[in-house]
Amino acid sequence: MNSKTNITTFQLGFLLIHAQIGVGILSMPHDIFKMAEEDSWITILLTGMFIQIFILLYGALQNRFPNKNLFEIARTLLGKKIGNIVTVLFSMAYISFAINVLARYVYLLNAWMMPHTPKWALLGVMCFTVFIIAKKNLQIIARFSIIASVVFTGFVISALFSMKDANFSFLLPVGANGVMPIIKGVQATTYSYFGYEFFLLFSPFIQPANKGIVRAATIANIFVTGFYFILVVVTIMYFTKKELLMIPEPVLFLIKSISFKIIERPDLFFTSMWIVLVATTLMITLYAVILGFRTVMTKAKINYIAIAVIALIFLGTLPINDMFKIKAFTTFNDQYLRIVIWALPIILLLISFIFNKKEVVKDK
Amino acid sequence: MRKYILSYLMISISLTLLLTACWDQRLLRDHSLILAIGYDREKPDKILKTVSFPAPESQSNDVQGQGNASSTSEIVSTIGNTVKDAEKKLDNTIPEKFDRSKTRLVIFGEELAKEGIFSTLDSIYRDLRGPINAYTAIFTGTAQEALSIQADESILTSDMYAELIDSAEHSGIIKNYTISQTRPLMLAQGMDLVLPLLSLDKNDKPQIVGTALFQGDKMTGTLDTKETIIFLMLADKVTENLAINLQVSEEHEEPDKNFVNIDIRSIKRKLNVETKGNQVKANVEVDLTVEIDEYAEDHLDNKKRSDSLEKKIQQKLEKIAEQTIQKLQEAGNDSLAIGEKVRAYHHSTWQDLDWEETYKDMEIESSFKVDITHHGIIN
Repeated sequence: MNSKTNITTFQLGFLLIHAQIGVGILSMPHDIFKMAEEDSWITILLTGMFIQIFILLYGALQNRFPNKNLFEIARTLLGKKIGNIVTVLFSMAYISFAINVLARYVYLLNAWMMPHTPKWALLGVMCFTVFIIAKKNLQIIARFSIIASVVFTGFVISALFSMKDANFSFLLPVGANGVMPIIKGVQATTYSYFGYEFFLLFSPFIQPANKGIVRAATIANIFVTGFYFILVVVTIMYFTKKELLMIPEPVLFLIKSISFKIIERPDLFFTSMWIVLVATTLMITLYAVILGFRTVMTKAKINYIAIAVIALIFLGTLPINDMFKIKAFTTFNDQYLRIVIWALPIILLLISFIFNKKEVVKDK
Repeated sequence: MRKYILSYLMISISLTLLLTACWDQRLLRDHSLILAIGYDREKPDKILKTVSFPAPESQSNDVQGQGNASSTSEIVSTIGNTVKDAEKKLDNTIPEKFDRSKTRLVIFGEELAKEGIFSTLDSIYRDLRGPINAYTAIFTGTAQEALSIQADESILTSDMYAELIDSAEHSGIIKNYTISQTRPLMLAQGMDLVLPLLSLDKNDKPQIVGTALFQGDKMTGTLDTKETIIFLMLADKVTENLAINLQVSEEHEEPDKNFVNIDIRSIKRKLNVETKGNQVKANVEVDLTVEIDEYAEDHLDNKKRSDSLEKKIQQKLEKIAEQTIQKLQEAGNDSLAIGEKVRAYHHSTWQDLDWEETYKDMEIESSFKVDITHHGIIN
């Protein structure tokens, strides 16, 4: 393993945060509110805990195979052929995820920022940027993620800034609609959390090996949960019930309502910042796809794989061009990701337990 | 490696050149900036839209000479089925396109306000460049009338109105809402909207005559200026120091001596809501610390006299408050946010209630406590 491509657990934490937080943050409060209404904030906390269970399970799997990534683990446990099929399934899941992210990104930019700019131009610029960085090594992506984290402070500060018009009583009453809406909300929220599983793919790159990986993932999860929590609480306190059901991107609307003396439309700034978050999510996803295809096709060059994948994503995004198609595709993507990301690693973990297969650590 | 860098450079340069074609550019020279909009109901079911924008000459003046602000406003009115329909017709009247994103003020005619304003505002909420930070106000006549006045003293009509309501808010006479702030109030169940009510005086000068009360998005009543001040105290919406003039006695022959002018230094409000079964009772307590800034009776160094004046002020305030609350209830306007309190803290009661009905007949008490701490530099 080349030392140039190694990352630290600190960098891993940022990678995970950026993989998790992406295109959905602007609309996430609306999606949850549809289900859980005033109790959306409980939903967020519950989802965070739910995700934490998976992180611990993945940690157990990773612990048994410290020097292998998920694809290699699959090949070890299931044999080469089935392992390859699993790997391709995973990669396709990420490709569809990237397509969904890009489709929502283009739709939102067209609605909020550039109504007349054609889709292929918006898509092209994003794909090109992502392509250039994703085909480099993980370290570069990690460094970029750390720099891009400045964006989070912007979101948090502006969210807190709008507290002056907030109504605390909008959060009340707590739990008036019972438990079911909250749990339904969890179902709708897990999609915004996908990305925590990347540490299974990146673990061989981490130096010093096998230390603090789960801790980094946990901290990232806490950060993401906290970030979502702030956004959800502030939007609930700012908007009334009817409004939140009417406004698909409450976070942007919140920022649009704040007016500064010099800046007329702060939402433009925030859309730009959000683009960075979308880009980091896409980079990490694309890198994972490339990693997957490389495990299957050991001889192919990275560049060709990357070009093929990005072309596939670009072409795949073009037809998904209206709200209803995006919704349908998101539902499909959500189901697919759940099967792949939740079920497969757990099955692998079970197999590894039942047949007591472990990686033999040679040194020490 | 070198080759790669070069090719990236080439690609990025060509992309920059190709992609800066700007599909979304909007040039100022192609647009005429609307600064104030008025909406009226044109009988029976059309919208009359009036816009006020700086006259073309003054626009060119602004570019050439600094400070030469001989700005005059021009207005154009069109009639359409909806706001956007009227807007489309507006664009046919001048060579440029209208741009409403810099609007400072949106005025509604009383007629339209009584029928509801939410659907009129729909296009502004929906538009990504909609002027959601513009102030809103209601005009007792038609908004067209309001914007047609000839403003002298080289000030734009839009600026005059904007500054009028702005300064009124600073002196605590009214509370302004921007378009984005009106939406939650129109849609919330336990809260309601109030907007400044404007009118023209005898000399055709605009003035503030009070507050328009809304139920949902429909205007249902009004308060005069004195009631508005009391209302702002009751609703805890006083943003700045405000002064109020009250008649505290009738016995003096010199008319001046019957009045006192108080300047409010600090204000604390408490809203208590009690529910018993389906009965809701509300109690508003207002604690005021005041300075007397005009009282021709004098002798305020005497504790007794000072106390009795406090009492008189209290009684007077309570009387106006009672009248104000009655008007609020008649209009079905719950801008004290009692409903919100019931919804949040007494949710089971709230679910059984038809709030609009309950609010109209519920018991709302108000009590004032006045504490005179200063009386200027004479006794």
